[in-house]
Amino acid sequence: MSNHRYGLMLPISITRRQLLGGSSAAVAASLVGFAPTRGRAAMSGTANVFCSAGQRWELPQRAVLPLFSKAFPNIKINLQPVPHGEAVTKIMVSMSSKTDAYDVVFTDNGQWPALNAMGAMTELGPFMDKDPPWRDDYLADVPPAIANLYRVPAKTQAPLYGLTPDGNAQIAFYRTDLFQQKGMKLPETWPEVIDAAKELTDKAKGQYGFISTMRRGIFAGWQFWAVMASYGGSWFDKEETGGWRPQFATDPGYQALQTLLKLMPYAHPVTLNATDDEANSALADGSAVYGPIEWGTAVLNDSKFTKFADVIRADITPRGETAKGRHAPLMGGLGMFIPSWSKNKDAAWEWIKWCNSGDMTNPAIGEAWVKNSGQPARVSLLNKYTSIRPYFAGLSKAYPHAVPYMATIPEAQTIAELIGNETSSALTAEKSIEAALKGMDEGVTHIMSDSGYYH
Amino acid sequence: LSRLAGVAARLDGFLPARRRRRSTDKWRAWLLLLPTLGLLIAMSIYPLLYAGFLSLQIRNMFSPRAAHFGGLANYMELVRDSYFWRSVELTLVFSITVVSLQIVLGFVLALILSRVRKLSDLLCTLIILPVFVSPIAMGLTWRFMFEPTTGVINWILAQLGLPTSLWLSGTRMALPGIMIADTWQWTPFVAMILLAALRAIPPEIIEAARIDRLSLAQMLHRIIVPMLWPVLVVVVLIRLVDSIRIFDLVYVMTRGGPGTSTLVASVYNYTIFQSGRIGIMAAFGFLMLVFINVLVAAVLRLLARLERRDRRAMAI
Repeated sequence: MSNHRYGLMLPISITRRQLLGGSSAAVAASLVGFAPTRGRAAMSGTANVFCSAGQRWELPQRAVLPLFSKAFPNIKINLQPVPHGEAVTKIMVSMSSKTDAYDVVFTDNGQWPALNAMGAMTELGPFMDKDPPWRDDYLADVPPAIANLYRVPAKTQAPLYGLTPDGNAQIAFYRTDLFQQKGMKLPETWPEVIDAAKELTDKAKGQYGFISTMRRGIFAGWQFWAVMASYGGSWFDKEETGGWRPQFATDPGYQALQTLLKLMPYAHPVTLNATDDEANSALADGSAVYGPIEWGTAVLNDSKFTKFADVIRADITPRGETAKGRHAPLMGGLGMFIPSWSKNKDAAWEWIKWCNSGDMTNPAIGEAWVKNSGQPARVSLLNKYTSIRPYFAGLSKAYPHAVPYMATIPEAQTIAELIGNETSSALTAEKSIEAALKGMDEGVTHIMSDSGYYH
Repeated sequence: LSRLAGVAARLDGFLPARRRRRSTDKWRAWLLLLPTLGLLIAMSIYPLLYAGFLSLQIRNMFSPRAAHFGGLANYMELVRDSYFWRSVELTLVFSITVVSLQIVLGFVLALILSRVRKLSDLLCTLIILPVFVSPIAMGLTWRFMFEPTTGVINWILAQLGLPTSLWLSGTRMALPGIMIADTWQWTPFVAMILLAALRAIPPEIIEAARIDRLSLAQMLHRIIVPMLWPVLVVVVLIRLVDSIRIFDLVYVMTRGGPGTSTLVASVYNYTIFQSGRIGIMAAFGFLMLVFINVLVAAVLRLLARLERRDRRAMAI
């Protein structure tokens, strides 16, 4: 430890010259030091922020808002949360109308290609370049695979249209106490998952060994796609001119649906109508004990929500047992962008920078973000707060393997919805596996044809 | 508007007195109609025409640059779409079942309430409450109540020694679950209207029927139902159109699933909208418009025929 920390305690003598020099230096330093504060105080306006309501999105923003208001007293942040299930549609419709109602939009990365196609997003590069140390810190801390989701196209060096204070990837939630009790280790492959689900299911006790968010539409679509990806599948033969042929009626697609069907006998009763709310509730109340492909959430490590907080842990999602099999959790997360039609872009940028600053601007921001259900994309925050959010360890493990949860094309949302509907039909035995996969291929071909991909 | 009125007044000066008066009246009529017409055009006619235009476009909200004219392609796609026909079938099943249930239960409830002397106002107030609950809030509440492992419905069934069900998570009971919720909410509405109609029946007619020693069944068949027909027609129509358009309750409770077990027309159309296919969505809307109009006309004709028959029977 260096002596200077104890400087004031040491007996010292100061000459007049030293005193004058020191005073001038102090004045100069204080002027430099306070310059940004003066700039902050001078900046003014209202930034209307569109975001999903509740945990991960609204609550962390509310937590860091008082700190922001202190630093930027003349900028008013007006949070406008909407139910998460409706956010995607609402923002697409709003941006189609070129509204200037929002200055910051905090929304799903899957929308970036479509929003960019509408010309709805402001490039953030010039804003980032105003503060190179901050820019470099952000880009070094957020894994490129995640940061690139907010570029169009999703490649390093492409223009950046959003920053993400909210990383996410699918992870496996499981009950360590029950796995230990049964002498089982966490399944690595899907056949092992089926065995574990069978072993853990005890219907007489109301205990189910498998839970998943299989509600009709995009929820079921993501789950199917996650399993298919883990068998080495992809949506298209190649994502370039001459390609774009759907690849659902293939071995990985078949294996994915077959796996999910084999898990149905051990599935928690709510599975076929479950969104994240229902699945998390089932894991929290103990009726579900293993969710091999769940989205990250703080509630399962929070003793206010579940008495199993101490024994629920997270790990990477299973992989397909075939040669092409790999761990392929889907990568989610939401990012912030400034709509092209915003009239207060500078204030909007300051809010985005604040929410994304981690420990860089002020460690209190990162702490407030995490402690209020935030789920950062910055690896430094994940590592720092694993002790209070054990599932962050699962996220850290998942990020390097994660694949985008949708293809980065404007039609991705439409396709995800369609494959989800077909998945739901297969899981309820309304359609055979073959018919559902054929339905996916035909539907997607139709969508891509309408959008001119085959011209 | 005052400027227009001034112009109209000046124009009047050039016309003979009688024609002038008629012309002034005409102008005034148009002036008075103008705001309503403007609103009608802006809020109803223009959107309808625009939806018609959209229905002929191949247009995806998420890739607007690829939009192009498609003629009747959207309509053809819908006609070939098995989900579309499934949604029409489910809408019919849902509407006919819930409207029948609500009319029967509402009528019974109205009859009981019409005989209650004490606290009838308080009872009416309590019974009508579900009508004022937001369908979203109600849908969420029912969703939690129907939850298979922690929901109160299965708990009560288990306490009574009855078999429990998957309710909204199973294909067999999901639609009946939604029907129960809808019936719970709208039966009081039917009951209140029928109660008002029942109370409007002149007491001397009922008295005369009693003197003639008509049984309750005879009284219902010969007197009460025929006298309620005009009100019944209105109630059936309101509930039928409402139930065909049902959206919020189903969307909140099941989103059309599991599988396609609750995929009623409005929900299917909304999922098409959510996936950005606004051309097909508009075509779907137009088909539903035609379908509802044809159905309403058919129901009206059927009810009118039944009413004529009952009135003839009453006259005899």
